Amino acid sequence: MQSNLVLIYDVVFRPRQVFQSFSRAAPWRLALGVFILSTTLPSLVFFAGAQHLMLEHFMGLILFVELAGSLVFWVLGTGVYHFIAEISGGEGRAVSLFSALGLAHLPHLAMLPLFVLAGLLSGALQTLWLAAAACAIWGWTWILYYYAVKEIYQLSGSKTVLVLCAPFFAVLFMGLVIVVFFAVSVAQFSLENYL
Amino acid sequence: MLYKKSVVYVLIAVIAVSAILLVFQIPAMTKTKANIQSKVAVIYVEGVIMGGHGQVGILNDQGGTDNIMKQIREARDDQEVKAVVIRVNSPGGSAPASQELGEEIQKLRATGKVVVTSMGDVAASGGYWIAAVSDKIYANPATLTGSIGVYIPYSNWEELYKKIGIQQEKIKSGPYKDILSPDRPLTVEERAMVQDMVNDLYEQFVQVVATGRHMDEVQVRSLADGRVYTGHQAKDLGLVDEYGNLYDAIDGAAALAGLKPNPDVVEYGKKSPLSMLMGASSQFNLNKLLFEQVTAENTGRFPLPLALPESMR
Repeated sequence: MQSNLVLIYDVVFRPRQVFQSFSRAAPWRLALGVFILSTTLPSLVFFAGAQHLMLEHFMGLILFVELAGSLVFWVLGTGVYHFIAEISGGEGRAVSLFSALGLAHLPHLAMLPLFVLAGLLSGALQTLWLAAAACAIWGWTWILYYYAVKEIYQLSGSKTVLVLCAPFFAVLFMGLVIVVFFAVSVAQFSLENYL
Repeated sequence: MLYKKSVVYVLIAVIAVSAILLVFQIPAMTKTKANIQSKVAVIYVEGVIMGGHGQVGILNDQGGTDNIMKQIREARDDQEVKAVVIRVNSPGGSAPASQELGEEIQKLRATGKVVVTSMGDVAASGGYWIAAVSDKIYANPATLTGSIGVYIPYSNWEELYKKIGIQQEKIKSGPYKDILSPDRPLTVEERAMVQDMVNDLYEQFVQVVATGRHMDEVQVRSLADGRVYTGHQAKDLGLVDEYGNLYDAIDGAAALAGLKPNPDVVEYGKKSPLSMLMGASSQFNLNKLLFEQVTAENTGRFPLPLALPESMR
């Protein structure tokens, strides 16, 4: 418990140094606990407070989808980033990256106090605050992802950014291929009908 | 080390306190004065009206008046809903099921909420039973409505059974236990009994229309010979109040409830993701229902009295 608390502190305030140590000992159990807590706690709080919206029918489904979706992204993400990092010349253990990415979910818990502060505001200011908070948490998470890949696989900064962006570029490229393929098929079909 | 642990404990405390505060804060955030707007609820009555649970899944529920009654109760309990539009697109169905819905609508009106019916393509027979108990009825001039009446279907398959060599026998506890059995004709007494039942149900239907539409019983009887009317004819006869589509009915309901025009609209009931995406809805299988009615004896069920125009089968 004591070292877990120290680890959590280091992930929040000294991510670069703590992720370096994951090559020796990967705290995957702590990562799993942090992942479950940070994924479900904000949703549970929302459902507890929003009972007047009569969403109880959907609560179980939404929680399940959120947890399952995040878990899939976490596990698949680990596999994909590990593969790309290894191809890029990095050397590291997948379980280390898995633990680091799990702990990178910690910033999600910051949503709770930020939402409380949003309650003190009103109107456009509240909306602006919530948007800024969401961006901050998102950015913080990706900074942790960056340090995780960089320190575990000992890659340079630019290579780390490439590793993180590669899956998105791949999806974008595949999407483009599908659109072009579909467009050509439709055009071909239309031409055949008219000729 | 101690410093780090202390910081983490403080962070945990902040998050825990925030979580507790949010539980009380979220209702205030989602229910500000600007957000509390009086609404009009729309409840759909589509297809053949049948009693029971219908089909219930994780993501949707359809068919069966139990679901519609549940939606009416949700509208009754929703403080923000001031008026309800019942959108009827139904040729009718079982008389008891239509009666159940009618009773539930009357209870809703008794709470002070306005109930307006909007008729779609067809709102006949049992569909009109429901409409008659509302505050106001909107229909299109080409809507098919009316068909005020009841029938109990009966088929005599005796000759068919003889042809295919089936001989049915029954050992009964009483002479009328197998009344409406398809394997033999009705006796004179049985025919009279069934006619009494139909007459009783018809009287109930006439009463509902007379009370709901504030019409004289004699006048209702003169209209309630089972014929179907267009919306245009129905308005001339006093069976319908206004011409209009669903949105006219919503605006009319809002006006009756003293709300601003273009009110917020809320719908109840689960909807399947497919229907939400594609607007699809499953159709009640009327032929299957009527087949079950005429073979009810073999399936251990009694044929239900139907408020359903024969011509719409």
